[in-house]
Parts: sequence; structure tokens; C-alpha cells
Amino acid sequence: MLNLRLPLPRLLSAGEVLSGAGSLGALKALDAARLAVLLSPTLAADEEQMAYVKKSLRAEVMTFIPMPGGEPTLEKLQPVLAELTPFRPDWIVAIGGGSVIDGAKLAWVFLEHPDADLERICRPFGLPGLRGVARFAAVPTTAGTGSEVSSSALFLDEETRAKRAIVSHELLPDVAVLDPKLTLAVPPQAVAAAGMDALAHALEGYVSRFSHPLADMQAEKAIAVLLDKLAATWRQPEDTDTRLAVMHAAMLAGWVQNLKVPGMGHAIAHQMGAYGIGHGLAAGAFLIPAMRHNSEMPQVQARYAKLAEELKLRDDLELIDTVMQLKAEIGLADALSKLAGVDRKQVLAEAEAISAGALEDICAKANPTAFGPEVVHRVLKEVL
Amino acid sequence: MSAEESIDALLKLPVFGTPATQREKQFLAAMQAALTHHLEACPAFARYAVGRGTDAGKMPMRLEDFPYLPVQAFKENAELLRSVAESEVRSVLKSSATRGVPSVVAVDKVTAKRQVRALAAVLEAVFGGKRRPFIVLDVDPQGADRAAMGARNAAVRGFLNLASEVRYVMKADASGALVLDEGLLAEALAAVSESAEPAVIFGFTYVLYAHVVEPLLASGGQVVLPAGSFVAHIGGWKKLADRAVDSAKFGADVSRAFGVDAARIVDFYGFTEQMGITYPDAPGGDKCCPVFAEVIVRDPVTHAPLPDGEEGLLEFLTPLPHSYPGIAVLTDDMGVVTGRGEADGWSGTRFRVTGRAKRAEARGCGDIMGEKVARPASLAARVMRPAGPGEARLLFSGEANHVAGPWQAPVELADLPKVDNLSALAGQLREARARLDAYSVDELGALIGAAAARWGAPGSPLAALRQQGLQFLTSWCRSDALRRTADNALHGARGHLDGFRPVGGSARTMLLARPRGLVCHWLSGNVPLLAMLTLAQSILSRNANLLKAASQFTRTLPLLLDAFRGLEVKTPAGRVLRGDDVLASIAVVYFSRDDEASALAMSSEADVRLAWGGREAMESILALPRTLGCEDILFGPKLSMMVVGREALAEGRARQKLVRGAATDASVFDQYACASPHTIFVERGGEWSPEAFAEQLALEMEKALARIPKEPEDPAAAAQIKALRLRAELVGRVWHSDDGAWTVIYDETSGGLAPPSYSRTITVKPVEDAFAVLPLVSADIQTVGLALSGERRLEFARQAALRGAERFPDVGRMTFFDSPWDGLFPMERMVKWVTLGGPV
Repeated sequence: MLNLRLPLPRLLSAGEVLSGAGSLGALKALDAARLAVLLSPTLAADEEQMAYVKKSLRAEVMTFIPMPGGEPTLEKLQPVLAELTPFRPDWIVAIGGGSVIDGAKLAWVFLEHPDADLERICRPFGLPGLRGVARFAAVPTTAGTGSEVSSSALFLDEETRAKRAIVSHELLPDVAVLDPKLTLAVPPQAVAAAGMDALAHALEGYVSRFSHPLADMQAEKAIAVLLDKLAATWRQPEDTDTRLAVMHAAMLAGWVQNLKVPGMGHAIAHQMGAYGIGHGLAAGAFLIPAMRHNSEMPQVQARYAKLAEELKLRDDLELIDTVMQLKAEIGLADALSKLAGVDRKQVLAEAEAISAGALEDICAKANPTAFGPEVVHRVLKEVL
Repeated sequence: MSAEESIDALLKLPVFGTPATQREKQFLAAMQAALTHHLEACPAFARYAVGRGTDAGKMPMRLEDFPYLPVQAFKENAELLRSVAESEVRSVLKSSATRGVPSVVAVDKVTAKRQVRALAAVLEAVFGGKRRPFIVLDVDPQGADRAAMGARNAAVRGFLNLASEVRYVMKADASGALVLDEGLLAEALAAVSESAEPAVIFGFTYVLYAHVVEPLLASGGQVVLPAGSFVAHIGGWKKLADRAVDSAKFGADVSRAFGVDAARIVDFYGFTEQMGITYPDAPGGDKCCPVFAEVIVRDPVTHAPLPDGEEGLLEFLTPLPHSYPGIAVLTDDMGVVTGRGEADGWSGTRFRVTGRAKRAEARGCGDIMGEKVARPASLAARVMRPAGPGEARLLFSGEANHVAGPWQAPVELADLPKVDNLSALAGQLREARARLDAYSVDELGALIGAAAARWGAPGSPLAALRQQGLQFLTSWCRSDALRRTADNALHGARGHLDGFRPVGGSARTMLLARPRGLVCHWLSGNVPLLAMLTLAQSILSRNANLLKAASQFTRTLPLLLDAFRGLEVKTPAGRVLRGDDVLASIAVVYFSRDDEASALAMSSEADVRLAWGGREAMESILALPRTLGCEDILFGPKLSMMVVGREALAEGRARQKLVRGAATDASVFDQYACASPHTIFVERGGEWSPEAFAEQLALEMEKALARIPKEPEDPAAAAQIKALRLRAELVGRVWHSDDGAWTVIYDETSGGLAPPSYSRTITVKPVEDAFAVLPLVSADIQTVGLALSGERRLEFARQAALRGAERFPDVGRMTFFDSPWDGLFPMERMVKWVTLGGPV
């Protein structure tokens, strides 16, 4: 990896990306002696899926460690590390949704740097080198977060209840595997939420402050596929071809997220974890208000109009309508509080804190227009 | 009166019988005449004199104001010190130089003639005018290798001008060493005994005593010389002093061996740089200056003249040298003026030689490598030597630090626990090593990192060492830095230390790096915190460690290790890592270098012998027995330098950074590190001339003093710096601090490496082309700080690497410990590689 100081557009990704139904079996080729598989609790409990996983992997010794549910926190990771550290793995394979992959990345960090200072490693690119002990493979079971090709690991700070991120290209997995077979057991709402997260990565990233023409092309393709196929895969989960197409699109959107950084919608969505609201749901919910707000800026409006043209849509307004229509099709038309099952008033009561957190979020800094607390308050009311 | 006439008049005066007033007047006049001649005839000397405020229009009126040259000037800059045309040089005198570089002086007809007259006058005053038979304790120069005899031959020949008959009684053996020919001696003694004519036995002090007097007395023999005979000797006492023979014992033994009265045993003092001028013992026993010479005693540090009775460096003045400007020479000899005026019928200043100035010769000499890491005693506390063999003492173990306290406080070995059995101690450490197996390499790194964070904390007894490498060490021992070091050393993955790990992209073959067992470290005292750099790597690789402390900076390693005591680090996995588990397999001991029993026991136990030090230390360790398969990691003596290309001298911030970095490199550890530069070669043709670079470097050296404070020099080092600065004035320009803190010398007269003088003394030398420096690079060169770019940078480094150099860091980072070091990755040598599966 080049050690660049200039923010030049470049494409950084996982070392190798494998995809296709059954592609998990490629991990048999890992040069692993001690392989630790960190996997989602749902998957761990699914005998059929576990049989498939076990059959697809090979190493001298393997251990399977279920990850905690929900957003990763350091506290929740402790039992994982207590198992992982004495196992002394030389490969870690993370199988699960974005939270599982992010949590596994954190476990990897603390395996290799058990004395890592959290403040230091949370500074952008403050993470020391990895891989002196173990390498990392990511196998997403949802099509959305893009964690398999991202340079970050998000976690919830127990103390402040804020979402924090470790950002470093060291966190890019050595191998990413997109195997639609592993996504078949994912419930429809999770498919929908993850899909909307991916769409938000692409749509928000497309207009971010950071210029990256290559990522824009990826965004265009990701948006086209997601608008076209997300509803279909939600309706027909057993169609692995469609599921794979959506996974590919979600990974393209993951690249966009990693290279361009999404904006305001994601900045606010990151604050919802503290209320038990899943990231995908939140990201999908704040996407349209973010697009509308940003389209007030002529340059952004022009960018979305160009995108609409690429997508054979009339204009930016039709683009927003299309996204709204998709949300409705996949069961996400309701208010966020209803979808997530949270008390709207309770969340709105903390609008000040949510707003402060959102404005500090790295995604706020990538948003094409500056926005203040009043915008966040308005959007919260609208979405919740 | 011309110079020739005034000197001639001086030589005609009674040599020890001229009244003081007449002698002083005529001597000053002759000195002034001689100075005028040398100022006109020797440009280097003239430059030197002008730099010191003397020129033809400003003649000194007091002897102490004459510009004087240190003797070292004749060792390294002899070609510059000539006041006659080369064609007039009749012979070149070379000192015998038992150690190091010999002095060289060019002698013309005028000088030779004066030397003969001067010597004859002194000898006549001592032995009387009559010619006598001489028995010479040397080889017959007829047929001998005259070149090898050097100035010794000249000195001997001078004395023989008074001989009626000469018999040589030594011969050279196959190796060229002098041996006594007993047959010739017996023959010669018999001849003089028979003739009853008073004779002179003449020779070098050490040869006379060690080869003739001692064996004679040991065999119970005695030779009775005819009445009125003399025993005359020259050459100095150094070698006898090493054998604890003082002048009283010498006199008594010689008197007994030859039956000669003590008053007739005469020691003549003199030195090559003023050949022909000899100072015999006067009746009171002290040396006496002849009428054509004078002595001044100077403060060893300030060089200010000292009053009679005070000890200092001896400076000798004489107007006799004509072909070279050696009319005022500051020697390395210490002495004292004991009297003036007339006493016992002798007039002339009397003085006594008390010894040699410490570190009198710059260690640029033949044995520089062996001594280069030695450090003046006063700079750091020394320990006492234990009483005898097998007397190892325990300084530190997992249980206690027996040398806790201020880092620089002296250590009383007698108060420390004795190690009855080093092998048993080694066994305990090996056993305790198993406690490290419970830790992953990253957990060990976390522990070392946490201990390192304590070293520089407020209140730490080591905080004062921040500028002596503690900051660097702390940063180097940060856990992430250690992990990087381990990755670099261990095939890219420190995970090999934790278990078998596939290599080559396939799980078919796996590699494990297992600890070798017990690493025994021999530490050196040149850089206080050095040991921890390799100890940390040994701990990471899960070895037990037995360390032999150096006699300087003895307490620093135990203090560093104390930071592990009671240390607990809680990991995110919920594990508690304990520093005491690390300490359990570490012990620090001390035993003297003469304690062969302890050295042998330690070496025999080692699975890895790791040593820092000078040549002598390395050779003594290599000579110790070791187990089969024991690995040696030897960081022996090395020299370093810097090369600055013209491209680096273009105006701008980079140039300023470069010169600042050069000052840092020359200041860190006061230049005692093997990676410290002593010479900077600067290419001509850049926007700054090499001289301008030197001038800027001087400014930066002063600033570096604020960043990197310096320990005050001890008197010996200060005296050496002073002498160096004097010498440097002959060859170029010198910039220096008011005290001895730093010195920048610009020398365009010689192209070689400047001899290391330490104490922030850096020599800048111009070169036409950076590549011209390559012939100076050898396996003795460790680091070349490089300020070149592009193809030249790569090609210079490639060629210099082929010649033996091992590091080419950027300027400003030369002394940063790195891995690899001395061409090897220490950690890689502390493990054994074990395979599982394969081979593919």
C-alpha cells in the first residue's frame, strides 16, 4: 500500500474478493494452522448453516467463537478475546453482518495490540500495523454494510453511548468472500435494512465533498442494481443469483463508502445505535431527508440530476421518488420509531445530544453542505 | 644579529654554567630570531601563529607567549611542518611510537649540526670531556634495519660522539624483537674491566633494566665497572612504571648490578620533536635545562602557565630546530618546575617529569578500535573490583534490586550478595523462563511497553537520562514499535513466536521460532541504556537472561528493570499480565574482567552470547568456551562517518535541517556510540562550500547543546580537546565552545578519517567527489550518514556496503538504534527455527 499524504482518489479494497454461491469453500486454501472463526450468533445456532461453514473451511485447528449480538462494544468483546487470545490464531474469519465483521476486526486489533490505547487508535490512521500475528477474512451474510471492503470498524462506546470508529487501511480484510448461500437465512427486514444501508452509502457518497470519479462510477452501478433488484431479493430470498447481484452492488457501495464517505444521513444514523435502532434501518430512514436537504445546494442537485439521467430517470426529484417507492416496496415506509419499535418521544427528548453527536461524526464532515442542529432536529422529527 | 648568529652565540655559552640574566636575554633573542625564520618559512605554522595573535610584527617578549605546537602536530601533520625546501631535508626522524602514530620531523644540515653540538655540550658537562668506551644496549646499526630503528638510532648515535670505542650487545631475533646477546655483553664487560678505563653503559631505560640488570641480579651476578664509569639511559619510564619499578628501585638495582655510585647513573630526558636537546639529571636528582632550552609548565585544561611547584603539562622551548618549527612544543608529559638559578654548581631551570597526561594520544592510533568505547572514569560511577576469581556479585534479580538508588551513585560491590554458583543461577533462570510461555508475544510487548512508560515518568530515578537516550529507548520499547521490530526480524510475522505458522502461502510447511534458552549479555559502558535494546528483544522471544553489567553506568539497567516490578497490565481479554513474571528469568551480575572463573561459567551456560564492547572485550569473550550450538551476537567496535553531497547543500529548509541533523548526530551520547560520526565529508561544488557547512555546523553544535545537554569533561579529556584544537589550527579552521563542550574542525589538508576524539569533536573535510570517500570504507565502518540523492545515493550505498559498511541512515538519525544492527537482526539470532510438515 502506498504511503500517501495527498487525498488522491485511489481504490483500496480487501486483498482478494471471491464471490459466487459456494465461494466460501475457497477459504480451504487459506494457509492457516490455527483458524478462529468469529461468527454471528444466529449463524452459530443454525445447524445447517454451521455444517456448511465447517465443510467449507480447513486448518490444522479450528475454533468457532460466536460473537455477541447487536452493536459491538468493548465490554461485549471481552469473552470473545478471552477465547481468542489463548487460541493464538494465525487467521481470523469473520462470518456475519456488519456488526459481526466490525466486532471481529476489533477483536483482531486487541489480539495483536492488547495494550492498545483506545484514544490513540481511534485517531484517524492511528492504528499500528496488523498481521504480525494473524490475518483476516470477512464473509458478509448481509448485503449492505460493506464492512468486508471497509477500512473501519465501528463500535459503541459504552460510556458515552456514542458510535465510534477505528479508521485505518490496516483493517481492510485480506480476503472477502461474497457467498449468497450464507444470506439465505437472513430475515426479510434485515435484508431490506441492509439493502437500504448500501443504497445510502452509494447515494450519499455520490455527492460527498471528496472527489473520486472511479467511486462515482461504482456508485452509479450500485444504485442501478439496488433500485432494480433489492425489492426482488426481498420478495424471493431463495433466488441466489439476485441475492448475489445485490451483494455485488452492496460491495460496490461499500467501496464508495470507504473511498468517499457518506454524509448527513449516516451522521445522524450513527447516533441511533444508542437507542437500539439498527444501523441499516436508520441509514435507510435518514437517506431521503439527507438527499432533499443536500439538493437545496445547486451543485448537489445537478449531481443527482446527472445520476438520474444515468439511471434513465427524469430528474433528481424522480430519483428521490424512486427511492421512496423502493422503501415502500420492501416494507420500510413507516416511521423509524415504529419500524424499530422505540419510543419516539424518548428519542426526540435527546435531540440535542443526538445533534451534537451527528455534527461531530466524520460523515457530517463529508456532507456536501454544512448543516446545523436545527436541520438535525427537523430531520429527526420528520423521520421518527 | 641574525638567527644563525644568535643561536650560535647561545650554543657557545657554558651549558649549565651561564648566569640567569645573561642566559634569559640571549635565549629570548635566539627564540625571537628562530620564530621569525619559521614564520617566514613555514606557512602552516605562520597561519597557526597568526591565529594565536603572533606575527612577524608582533614578536612575543615573554617565553610563555611564543606559539607552541602540541606534539600531536608532528604525528599527523608532519608534512606541513617544514621550514626548509624539501631538497634540503637530510633525514627524517621518526619516533619509536610504542603505541600509535609516530612523530615525524624533517632534519636539515643546519638542524643536524646544532643537534650534535647541543648534545655534545650536555654530555661533556655530565661525563667530562674525555672520550670513553661505550657499551651500548642496542643492535649494531651496521647491517640492522635502520628504518626500523627510526629515531632510536639517531638518539643513540648522538650519544656516541663522545665514545672512544663502541660495543653493541643486543641482537634482533627472527621477529625483529631485541634480545640480549649474552656472549657479546660478557665480552664487552670483560674488555672494559680489564682496561680499568672508566666506561659508559648506555641504553634505553627499559632495555637496560629488563634485559640486563634484572637477569643479572636474578642470576646472582654482578659486574664491577672501572671507577668513574657511568650508566646512562634514555627513553622514559612508562614501561617500567607498568611493572611498578620506580626510580629509587631502578637506581638501587643498577647500582648493585654494576657497582656504580647512584650519582653516576644518569637518566637523560628528551623527545623526538626536539631531538638533540637532552635534559640530564642534575646533582639534586631533578632534570636540568641546558642553556639553549627552557621549560614552562601549563595547566592541562586552560594551558595557562603555572607557577613553579604546580604540576601540569610540560612545554619545552629551544631555538635550535631550523628545518621544522618545533621551537616550542607542548608535550603529553606532566611535570613540575622544582627550582631555578644555581644549585650545586649547575644553573638552569630544574624540573621533574611526573607521568603522562591521561589519554595523551588521540585514539586515532593503531589500537583505536580496542579502546574506542572506553570512557573517562569520572563521567560515570565505576564499581570496585571484587577480591578474586569466582567473585561474581548479584546486582539484580526477580527478588530484589541490590543497586537501587540514584543512577550515578557509586556501587560498593562488597555490600552486594555474592553469587556462589553462576551455573546454579543460570539454571534457576532457565526454569523461571517457562513463566514467559504463558504470554503471547503481544502480551510480552504490552508489558515491556508499560514498563517503558514508567522510565521517564516524573519522579523516576532515570528521568535525568532523558537526553542520554532514555527518550529514544522509551519510544523504541513502545509495544507497537517492538511488534514491528519483531515482525521485521522474524520473516515478517512475530506470530512464529506463538506457534507453528504456515510459510510460503501454503499450510504444508510451518515454522516456529522457539527461544534458544539463556541469553548471556556482556554489557559495555559507553552508552548508558544500550543493554535494554537487546534485552527487550530477548524477552519478547521468551529467553531467560543473565547480564553482566559494565563497570560504568552499572545501576542503569537494574533501574530500568525495576519498572517491571509489581507492574500489572489488564488486557481487554480480561487477562492480567504481570511484570514479575518477566523479571523471574532475569538476573544482572557483575564480575571483574580479571575474574576468569565467572566469565567461563557464564559463557559455558549461554545458549546465546550477546556482547557490546571494544575489541579487547570481544576477543576475551570469543576466547571463552561455549556450548555446541551457542549463538554469538557480537556488537564489536565500529566507526562511523557522514557523507554530504553537493545536491544536499542547495539553499532551503532541507539544508538547514541537514546541518541541524549533523549536529544532533555528533552530539548524541557525546559521540561515544559506535554510530556517532567523527568525520563529515562534504562535497565541493554545492551552494555551500564545505567550509561554509562547517561554519554552520558550529552554530548548530552550540544549539544542540541546549537540546542535548552534555556532561562536563574530565581533565584528561579536556586537555586532549585543547590539544586537538591547537593542532587543528595548523590544518584549517576551528570553531569551538568557550569550554570543551564541542569542537568543529575544518581540515582540508588530509583526506582520511579524523581520529575519533569523542566529546563532540567533529571534523569536516572537503572532497571533490563523494565517491572518493569509498576507499575509506571497510568492515570497521558501521554507519555512514548519507546526504546524497538519486542514483548517487543508491550507488554509493551499494558500493560502500560491498566494502563493509552496514547502515546508511539519513543525517540526524545516525545514532537511532535500528534493526538490523551491525548487519544482523538480533531477535532472529535469539531463536531457533523449527519446521513442521513439508518440505514442499
